[in-house]
Parts: sequence; structure tokens; C-alpha cells
Amino acid sequence: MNCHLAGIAHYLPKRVVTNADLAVQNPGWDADKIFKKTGIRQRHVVSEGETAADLGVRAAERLFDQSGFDRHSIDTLIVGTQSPNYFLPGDSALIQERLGLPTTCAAFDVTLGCSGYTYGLWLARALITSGSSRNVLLVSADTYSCYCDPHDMTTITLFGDAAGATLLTGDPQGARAEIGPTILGTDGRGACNLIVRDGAARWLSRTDAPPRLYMNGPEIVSFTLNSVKAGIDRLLEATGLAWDQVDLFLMHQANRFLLENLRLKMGVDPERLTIDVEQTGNTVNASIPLLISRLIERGQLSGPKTSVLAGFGVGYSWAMSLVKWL
Amino acid sequence: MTRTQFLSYYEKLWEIPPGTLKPENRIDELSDWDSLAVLNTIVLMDRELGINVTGAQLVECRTLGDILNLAGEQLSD
Repeated sequence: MNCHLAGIAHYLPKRVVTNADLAVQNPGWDADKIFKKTGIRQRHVVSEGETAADLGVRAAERLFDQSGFDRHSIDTLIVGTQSPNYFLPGDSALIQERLGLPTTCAAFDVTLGCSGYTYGLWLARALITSGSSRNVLLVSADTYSCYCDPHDMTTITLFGDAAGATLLTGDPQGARAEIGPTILGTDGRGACNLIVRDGAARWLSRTDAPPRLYMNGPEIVSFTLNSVKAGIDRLLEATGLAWDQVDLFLMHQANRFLLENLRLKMGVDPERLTIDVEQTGNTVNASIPLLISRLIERGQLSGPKTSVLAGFGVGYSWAMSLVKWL
Repeated sequence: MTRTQFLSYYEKLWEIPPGTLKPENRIDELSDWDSLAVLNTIVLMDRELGINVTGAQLVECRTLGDILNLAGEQLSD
């Protein structure tokens, strides 16, 4: 049994923070300077009391509305997030209940960020092709904005919040795409370069510290340059494809600088590698499904096309998936 | 690639006349040197010379010449 993508939807929180808003809070900066450094003009962020799980539920409800898929047929729920409601239980149990999925449904969280979506595709495909699952709902949601120090311009300018919901099924009828193999990688030496140290088990003694995101930009750029093209090379070798046989590269939308330089390193023309960060920023786990859903909405993604999806970042962790649009 | 050609990347980036920058220029006296310059250096070293330069190495550099020296023999005089 093959794994098919039957539907995809996204949700962006209503509140928007523009570059002008950030400049007001940070003297010495202006909107143009922020755009020049990041390629981002605004980012959607959650309001007080709104969480990644809320965004995930809304994306999933949109998916059910748009696809007409019977939620009672979902047998597996995978929730990719690093911004859960609680230390425990995971968001998957909460989302199972809020969506009214059957109690016979398997549900678990995958605590990954930028690589979370492609890891999710890998998992769903493994479950479906092995016969363990039939219909997998993959919810991808993050609210990194909540971890950012409002005066740390290395992070607050980059990250936005969003959720994606993807339906993966063994049933080929009406499918939009077929999910191919994924190659994966991990290098924990990079853990310290993109990290929220406070608040969890390692930091229990500092309960008064708000958990803040630290990012070492230069190290992240080095990691990306060393790992992403190499990962795609591995995927293409494993699937017997050449670079020029890939119609589209659907990348984790980190920021314009990184994507432009990756594109140059990969030797790919702009038409084959979309950059869509300007209005939404880096939405981490939701980044790739958000990109795909928005491209479909705009009529800019239809088959037949061969695409490589590349998630890479926090961990360090990376996963590149082959997806054929039908 | 020569050391002068590598410096010309910064001149184009900062829109300053060719030949302005010299290896002896101190980084802390360059008004255009910022976090983006650090990232651009990493990218240029990788793309043009196939060299992996880290942020930690760049923090130790005091002059443009120190940066050029990270490329070793990959940059000619």
C-alpha cells in the first residue's frame, strides 16, 4: 500500500506584528532594515491565551471542511510541535479530544521543529505502507514567537506562528500526491545553537526565568550549508533521480538570506525554489505545510510534478522527502 | 581567486568604491560590518572557495586580513 496526500490546510493566527511594530520597540532599527536582513515584512503571532494546539485544531477543522473527509476514519494522529500546551500530556491527546477523533486512534507528539513535517511524512508513510495505519492526520503547529525576547532582534524578527494539517492515506482515490522515501539525519552537536534552555527538567531550579529562545545565526548558516544539499544528494541517489528531474524544491522557510544562498549552492533557478517568508516569517514545524497550502490556494502547485521537501534546523535535525504531485 | 577579489565582495555588498578595503582594515572600525556581514562571509567562503568557516572563527578575527587568512592557500595574493 502506498502513502498518499489526500488534503492539506493551514491556519494563521489573526494578530500580525509588522516590522514597524518591532522597530518601535527596538531603537536603532527601522522596518526597511529588518526587511533587508530577513526578507520578512510581517509575521502572524498568537494572541494572549492562544496556543499551537489551538492553531492545529483550526487547521485540522479547515482540512475536514475542505476535503469532506470523515474524521472518524482517522486511525493515527501525529502532532509535530515544540510549543506544547503543557509539559504533559502531549498536545496529541488534547487535539484528539477537541477534534472528536475516535478513542481507538493512535496519537502521539513528535518534538521536532524545522524538520518536523518531513519527519512526519516519513513516519506516516512507514505506518501506512506497513499496514499499521490507514488514515493519518499530521498536525504541524508551532508558536516560537512566545519564546522570543521582544528585544532580541536575531529571533523576534524571524519567527511567526502557524499550523498545518495534512491528511495522509493508503487510499489512492482523489489523492493530490504520492509520498516517496525520506532520508533523515541528526547531529546533536548543534543542540546548543538553537535552544530554549529554561523551564524544563534541566533548568528546574530557575523557575522564575521566562523561557527564551537563543539562536546562533552563524552556526545555523554553517550547518545549513553543510547539510541541506548533501541531504538532498542522498535522497536523489536513493531514489535514482537527477537534480534536473526535480521540478520543485519545497524548503523549510527559514528566511530569505538562507534560502537564496541555499538555492545558489544547490544550483537551482528561482522558479524551482519558492521563497514565501515575507508575510509569515519562519513558522518552524508549520513552515512546509504552510508553504504548500498557500501555493495550492494560489493555484501555483499542481501536478504532475516531482518535488523534494527539505526540513532542516533545530536539533540539529534534517529530513528530505520525495513527493510526487499527481 | 585573489585576496583582492574576495575583498571586492564586501565592497559590492556595502556599495563602496573598488579598492577601498585593505587587509589591514580593522573590523571594529568598519561601520558596515554587522551580523549580516558575518553571515555573508560564511556563505562566500563556502560558495566561492568550498571552505567551512564558523562564527566562532570569525569572532577571533580582528582585521579583514585575518578573515582572508582563514582561506589559506585557497586565496592567492
